[in-house]
Amino acid sequence: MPVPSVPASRPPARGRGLNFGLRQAIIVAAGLVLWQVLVQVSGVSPLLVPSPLAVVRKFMEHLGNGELLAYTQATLQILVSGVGLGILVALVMTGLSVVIRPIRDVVVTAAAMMNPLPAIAVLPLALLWFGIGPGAVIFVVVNSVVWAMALNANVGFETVPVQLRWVGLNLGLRRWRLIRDVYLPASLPYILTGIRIAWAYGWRTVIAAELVFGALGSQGGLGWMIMIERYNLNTDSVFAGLGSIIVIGLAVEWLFNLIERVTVRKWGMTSTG
Amino acid sequence: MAPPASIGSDGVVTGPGAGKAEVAHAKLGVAGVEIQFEIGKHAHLAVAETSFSVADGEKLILLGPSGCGKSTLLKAIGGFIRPSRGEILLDGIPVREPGPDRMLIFQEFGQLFPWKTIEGNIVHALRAVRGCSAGEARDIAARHLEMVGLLPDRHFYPHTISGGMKQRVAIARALAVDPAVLLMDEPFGALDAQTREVLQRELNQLWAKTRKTIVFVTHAIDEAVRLGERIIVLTAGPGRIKAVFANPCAESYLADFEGDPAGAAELRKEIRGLLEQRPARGIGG
Repeated sequence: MPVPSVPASRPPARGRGLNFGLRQAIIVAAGLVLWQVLVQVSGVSPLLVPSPLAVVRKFMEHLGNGELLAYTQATLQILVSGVGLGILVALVMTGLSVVIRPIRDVVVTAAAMMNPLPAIAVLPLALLWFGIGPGAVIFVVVNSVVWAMALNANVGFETVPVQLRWVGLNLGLRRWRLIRDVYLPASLPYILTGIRIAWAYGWRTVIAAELVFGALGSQGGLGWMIMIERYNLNTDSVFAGLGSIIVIGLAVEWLFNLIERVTVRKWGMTSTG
Repeated sequence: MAPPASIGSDGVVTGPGAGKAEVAHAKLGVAGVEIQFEIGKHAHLAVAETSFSVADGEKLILLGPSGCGKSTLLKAIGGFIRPSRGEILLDGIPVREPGPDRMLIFQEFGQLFPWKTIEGNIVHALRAVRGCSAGEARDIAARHLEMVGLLPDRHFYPHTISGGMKQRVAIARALAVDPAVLLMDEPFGALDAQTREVLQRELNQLWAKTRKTIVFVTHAIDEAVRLGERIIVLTAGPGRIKAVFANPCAESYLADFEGDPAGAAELRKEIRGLLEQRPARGIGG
């Protein structure tokens, strides 16, 4: 009886010596030190480039008085509802196109046409339709997410290996049960990639919308904060806002990696696993 | 259940309507089935009109060179391909689509769901087909994993196990669902020689225990002789039945897989001789 091979070996380290995460941390720290030194040596006006220490101080101050969290919450609320709705709509469209073939042609054609359009370009139209408010931004985010997601999910569904599809049919699975039990999990690598792209598009779109059109609704988001602080010449706060956007982006990236590790990589469904 | 004596190579069983009554009463009947594919504007005849029947509890081999339509025929029995003419009958009822009463096992290793463990694959199949509770499904799965010797490995994911183990799981899953007929499409074709032999022996042992009706497709004469109770030899261009053999060595191989029973060499030689003949062109199809 053959012995099972060692389950899922660790990915090879990306280089020798210190581990990659540590090397990255050193690079970031060195960059911050260099920035601090350059600011002090050159004597550049803090209105143009504040020192990293000043930025961190400002960041902590905004964090302390709850402003930063409120801005972040406003942005994330719109983002999560927009991205979530977009993903849902895309998956339903892709699922329907498996069951009803003509829908597939409609979805693929629409996606191919809408995908190259920068989502933010639809904002003026959305403002006309939904008025100035979160509704318009959510519409734009959904629009930015849904087509990229639909294209990816569609590729995933189309490339489900024939054996798996046939096993599903053999077990008597049809329509919705076939999609749930076979198509969705089998195309999970593509769906996760789609969600990554959807998130990235949505994130850029929300910040851009806030920058261009200010506070949409009662409470502004991070983009709005950056705009306001620039207006007040609080450059250190502008930097603090940008820093927050980076931190959130990194956190979400980490979350995606975690999800991949406990799903597709654990199941050996990625080429990089 | 004793199969008829060896029928000569003169195509006794291939005539239109041959054995209609026999086909209707068998476990599985292939009645005048013809399969055509459209390739561009051309119709390609993959399987010329073919009739045969499989008795309950029989282990039947479809043997032929690549391109003889044996796999196509098997997929038609599975309901994955619709014959252009004729009917496939299971217990006398025509089959229209794939279903758990005819479980198909592929040659490719990628037939297990990679997101489910070995046990999970079987449990899922049981719940999908029989709608049994998770606990009940796990019990049945454990019984069948025990049969193929994989019970200790049940928590592994498919990508961590060998090809031979994957095929064992596929067999266990198919048997767990308890189909009327087990369809096997060169299931050991992608294995290394040693593993292939081990699995062939295991299949004989499993069959001796379960007496499940099996239709097994292969291009290997040796495999056919070791596994088949009855062997249908097909030739290519288009696929048609060349001869049907009752295997005199079937019982010997069940008892002693390594043995070299009398008649095995002759049977292999006769089949090889048939397969080496050029297909007769221009007759019929």
